[in-house]
Amino acid sequence: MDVDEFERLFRREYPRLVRSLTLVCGEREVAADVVQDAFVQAHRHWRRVAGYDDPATWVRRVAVNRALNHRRGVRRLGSFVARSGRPDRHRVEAPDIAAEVDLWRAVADLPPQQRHAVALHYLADLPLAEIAAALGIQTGTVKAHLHHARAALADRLGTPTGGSQ
Amino acid sequence: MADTTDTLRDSLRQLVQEPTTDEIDAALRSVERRTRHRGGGYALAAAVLVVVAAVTGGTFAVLGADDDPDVRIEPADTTAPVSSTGTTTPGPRRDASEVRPEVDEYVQGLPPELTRGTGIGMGDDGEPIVTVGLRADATDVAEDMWERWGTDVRIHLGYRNYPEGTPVELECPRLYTGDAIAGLEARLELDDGGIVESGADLGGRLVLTNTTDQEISLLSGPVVEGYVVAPGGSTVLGISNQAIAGLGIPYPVPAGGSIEVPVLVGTTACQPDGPAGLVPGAYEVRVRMTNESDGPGSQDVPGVTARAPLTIDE
Repeated sequence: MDVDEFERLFRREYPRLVRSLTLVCGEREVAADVVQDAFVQAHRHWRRVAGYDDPATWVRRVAVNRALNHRRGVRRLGSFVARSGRPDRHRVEAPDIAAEVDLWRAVADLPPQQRHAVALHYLADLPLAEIAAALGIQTGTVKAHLHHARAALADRLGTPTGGSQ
Repeated sequence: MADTTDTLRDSLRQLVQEPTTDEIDAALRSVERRTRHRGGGYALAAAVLVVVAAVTGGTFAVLGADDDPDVRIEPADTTAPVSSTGTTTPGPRRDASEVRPEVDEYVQGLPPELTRGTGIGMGDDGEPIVTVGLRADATDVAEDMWERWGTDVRIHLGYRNYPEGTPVELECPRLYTGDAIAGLEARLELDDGGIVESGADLGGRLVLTNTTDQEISLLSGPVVEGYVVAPGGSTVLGISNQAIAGLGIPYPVPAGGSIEVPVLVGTTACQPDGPAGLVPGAYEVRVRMTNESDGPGSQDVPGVTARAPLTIDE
């Protein structure tokens, strides 16, 4: 096994996947579990996974798939917000907790595919083509998801809709 | 425009921080440790212990190289020994004929309701590959099979490839239309109050009442398949991924009489997006039968339809 290559992949992908899937799953710990599970699978089959055109795409797909199957995410998010009013204990500071709770709720109300698209676009900084590969959909569909998500968030949060990426 | 999206990006980034370096290091160590524990670096030791355990039926706890007492070899499962090549050993994919008996034996040990059949298909490399169908919510089974056989077996979790989650090539059926058959009334009754777990199937019955003075004969398979749609919707979202054999079974409804036809409702997602099982929530089931004289597979011909509310639970 090329340990260095695996570790490089892990260090590059793990932080942004955890960050983006936290937005999807609603809990940091759940997102970390989901992403670690994906990397465990990659590690176990590394000789094969490393031979793929882009192992990162494979890992993202597995992680996203696990997150999609994490059906209780939204419910957990809702209860978490209600319980603490502060969804992410890793936050450094909370300048406007009410606004943050509103944003969490607005994101949680997005359909799963839109939520994934927003998370991977804004938090993982993936280009559209890589988001499409991670979600198993067309690039045009990603654009549509982002467009609708932005409109929905703007509507909920009372901010103007951004039309571009 | 750009300012707005930048604002959204900033807000989201403030909402969710990246893991710290310490957290990343700890996660990497955890991934490596979990891999070793489940057959990576300890594959040979595990294989030996599985053989011993098979003889004694014992449970073993062994200390690994890092003296971590969590390393545990569970009671031997002789249906799936540590794969000779499958999950940890590099090399070309194993021959399907070699893998098939192992998989068959494994599948026979599963609860029947979780399985959807085993076969041999064509792999992406053009070579035969053992393909296993599982109920959409059988994630634990899929994960276990993946760990045992890896890419030697193609796993379909509902209509998704596991673990990638890519959709299996499938066209969702559409709801057929056509005039109602005069004098025939239909009522759909679902089992369990119309509540089902996502990924599972639900039974029911279609009660047909003929109010005319002539027999009306309808056609179906051994069950009528109920399609799941959004309430009031027209796009099929969920179907069963059970194989339903036989299409041309006549169901004569006597003049002035009633019959019941069994119904099968599946909650396996057939659209390409989303999880393998339909997301929990409120849905509707639609069933439709057509005249025997129109033959099997008839689409937009006269028929009788019925609907009932469905709740998909977690």
